[in-house]
Amino acid sequence: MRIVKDAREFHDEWDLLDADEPSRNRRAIVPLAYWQSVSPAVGTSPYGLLVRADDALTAVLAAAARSELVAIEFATFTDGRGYSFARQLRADGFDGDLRAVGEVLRDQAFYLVRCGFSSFAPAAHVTSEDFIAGLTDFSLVYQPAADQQRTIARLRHAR
Amino acid sequence: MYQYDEFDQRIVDERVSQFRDQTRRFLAGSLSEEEFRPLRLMNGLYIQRHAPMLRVAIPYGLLSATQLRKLAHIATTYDRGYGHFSTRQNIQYNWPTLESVPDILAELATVQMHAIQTSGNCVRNITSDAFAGVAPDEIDDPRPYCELLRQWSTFHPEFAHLPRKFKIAVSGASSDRAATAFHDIGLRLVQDAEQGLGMRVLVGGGQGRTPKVGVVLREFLPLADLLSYTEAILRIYNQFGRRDNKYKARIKILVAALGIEEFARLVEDEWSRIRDSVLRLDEADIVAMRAHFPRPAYRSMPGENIMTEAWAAMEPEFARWLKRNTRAHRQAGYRAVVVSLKAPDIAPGDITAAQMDVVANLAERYSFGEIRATYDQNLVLADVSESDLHEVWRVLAEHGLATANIGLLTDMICCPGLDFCSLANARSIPIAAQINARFADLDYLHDIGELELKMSGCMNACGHHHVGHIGILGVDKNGVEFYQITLGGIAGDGAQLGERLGPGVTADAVADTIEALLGVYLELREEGERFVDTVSRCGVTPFKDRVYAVAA
Repeated sequence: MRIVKDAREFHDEWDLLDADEPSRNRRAIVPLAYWQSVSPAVGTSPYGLLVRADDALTAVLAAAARSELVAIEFATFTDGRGYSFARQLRADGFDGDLRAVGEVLRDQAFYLVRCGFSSFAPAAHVTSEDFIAGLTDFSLVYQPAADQQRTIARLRHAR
Repeated sequence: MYQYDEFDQRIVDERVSQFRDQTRRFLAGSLSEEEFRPLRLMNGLYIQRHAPMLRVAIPYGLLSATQLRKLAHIATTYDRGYGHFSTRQNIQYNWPTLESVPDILAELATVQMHAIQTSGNCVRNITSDAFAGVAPDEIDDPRPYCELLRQWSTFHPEFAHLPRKFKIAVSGASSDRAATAFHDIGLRLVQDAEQGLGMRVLVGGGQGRTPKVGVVLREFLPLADLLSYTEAILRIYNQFGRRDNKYKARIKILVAALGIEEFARLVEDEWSRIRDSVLRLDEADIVAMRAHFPRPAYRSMPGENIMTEAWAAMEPEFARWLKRNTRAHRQAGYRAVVVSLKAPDIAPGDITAAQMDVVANLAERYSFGEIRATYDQNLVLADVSESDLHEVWRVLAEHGLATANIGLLTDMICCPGLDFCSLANARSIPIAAQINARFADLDYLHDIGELELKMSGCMNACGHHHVGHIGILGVDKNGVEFYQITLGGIAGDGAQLGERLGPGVTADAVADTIEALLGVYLELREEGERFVDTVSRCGVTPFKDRVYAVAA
C-alpha cells in the first residue's frame, strides 16, 4: 500500500484484507478476530493487526505484542479513539510499525505522529506531498506525548 | 498576567499560518466542506444565520488594555463595530467574512491572543472566577492552574477529536463564582489540614438537553497531579464516551451510564499508569507559573475614604452604583468594579468598539492595565482605588456602562437566540428588551434584590436557563415561539437545577409572567430572603398558582 513513513512516500508489501481473503505474495493486515483465528499460538504472527475503534483494549494489547505491524483504522477522521489506542499501545511497549489507515487526512498528520504513529496510509484523495507537509504544522509542543519531541516546559527548564 | 515568551508566540504564529493555508485550500476546493468544518471550529469559526461567527479566546477571562483595544480595532475593521461577550468569558464577532478570518487571527497574534479551541470537540477555553486574585474569600489564585491547563490542552494531539466539546472551570475561592458544578470538569481549590493545598474534582456537570449537576470524582487531588489526572479523565472519556448520538456524547452521559464509582475506577486505574510520568508538576513549575500573576503594586491607603463617602452622600446615583456595581477587595482601600454590559437598550453582553476603548483607557489609568470578562457577560476592573471610584463611575456612566443593576433582574444572561444563531428555536434578545422595558424602575429592582435571570433560545442552554433563579427557555411549537419558565436554579454554591413551572407562555406574556412571580415573592419573602431563597422555602406551587391563574 501507499504509505508515508519518515516523511517520505513508500509502497510496501502490506495490504489491508477485510475478511477471509487468503494472501499470496503480499502480507496481510487483518481484523482482530481474524488475526486471533489465524495467528500461531506463540511467537510473532505473520499477519498485521487491524484495530478498529470498537475493539477491546486488552485484546488489542495482547495481539499487538505479537505483531510486527499494527494498523489503527479511522473509519471517519472525526472519530478520535484511534489516538488513544496509539498512546496506549506505545505506553504498553509496542515498538513495531504503528500505522494510521482509513480516513487519514493532511490536517491530522501532526496529531497522529505525536500519538506514536510511525507510518500513515493517507486517504486516496490526499497526496503524500500534502500529508508530509502536515507533519510539521507546528515546530513546538506544550505537552508530552508518545513522540520524543522536547516540550516547551523542558525547553524553558534548559534555558 | 501571563506574558507569552518566544515559545508561546511561535505556536500562535504557526497557528495563524496553518489556518491561513486551511482557508486557502477550502476556498480553492481542495478541502471539502465536511473536512474544513472541524478545522474552522477549532479556530472558533461558525457558519451562522447571517455570516460566519468568530469566537476569540480570552483565557480565564483575563485581558490587558492593549488586548481590549485590539478587540475594538477588530470590531471596527472587520465587523460592524461591536462584539459580544459570552458566558465562557470569550468574545464573539457576528459579522466577519470567512476570507478575513486569517487576517483577524494574525492581528490577534500580535497581542498574544488567538481563537484556538474556542469551538469543536476538544478542550475549550478554561474559565474561572472573574474576581481571581482580589476576592477576600480566596483560598488560592486559580489563574496559574488555568494557565497550566491552557498550555497542556493547547493542540493536545490525543484530544482533538473527542466525542463532544469539553469544558473545564477552576475556582479558587470559598464561594463558587465559576459555576464549577456545571462543567465537564470542575476544579475547586481546597486547603487540607494534612495534605496542604489541592483540588476537589467534580465531573459530569453540564446543561443542554440533559442537565446534570457535577459529582465529586475525587475529594482531594494534589496540585502536582493536576495534568496527569486530567489527562486520565480525558483518555477514559475519549475511549468510552458515546459517539453515535451527539446529544448523548458529553462526559455527563458516560458518568451517568457507568455510575460514578465505575467511572472513578477507570480513571484511577489509568491515572496510576501515568501519575509518575513527565506530566507530574514539580514545585518549581507551580512557583514559576504563580510568578506570572503577581499582586499589583497597591498603594497603601489607611482608613476610610472620605472623598468617596462625600460623593456618595451628594449623588444618589453614584451611591447606588457603588453599592450594586462594586465588590469588596482583599486589599484595603480598593474595590473591584463591575462594568455593566446590561444597559436597558442593548443586547446583554454586547459592547461597542468605542466602549471597549473607554474601558481599556480606564483600566490603564485606574486598574493596573487589566480587565476581566465575567461568567455573567459583564467586565470587571479588578483593582480600583477607592479614591478613583467616582471618576471611574463618571466615565463609565457617560458611555452607558454604569447601569446600577449588577446581580439584579436586568443583569440577565442571554444567548444571541434566533436573531443570530442557527441552532436557536426562538428569539431571546427581543424578550430581554421586553423585560428591560417592563422593569426599567431601578428602585423596584433594588427592592427585589439579588435575582439571576438566565435565558436561552433553545435547549442547548447557552443562556444557562437551567441554573437561573428564574430560567427562560425559548421553544418552537409549530412555528410559534413559547417560553418555558423554571424557578430555583443555582449556578454556584448549593448548585441545583431549576424546576419547571408549567406550560410555556407566549412571547408577549414573558414580562407579565415575571411580574406575577415577583408579586408572589414580595408577598411571601421573609426578612433578608432573596427570590431564590423564597422559592426554595415555599416551593414552586404558590408561583405556579399565580402565573396560571393570571393566564386563565
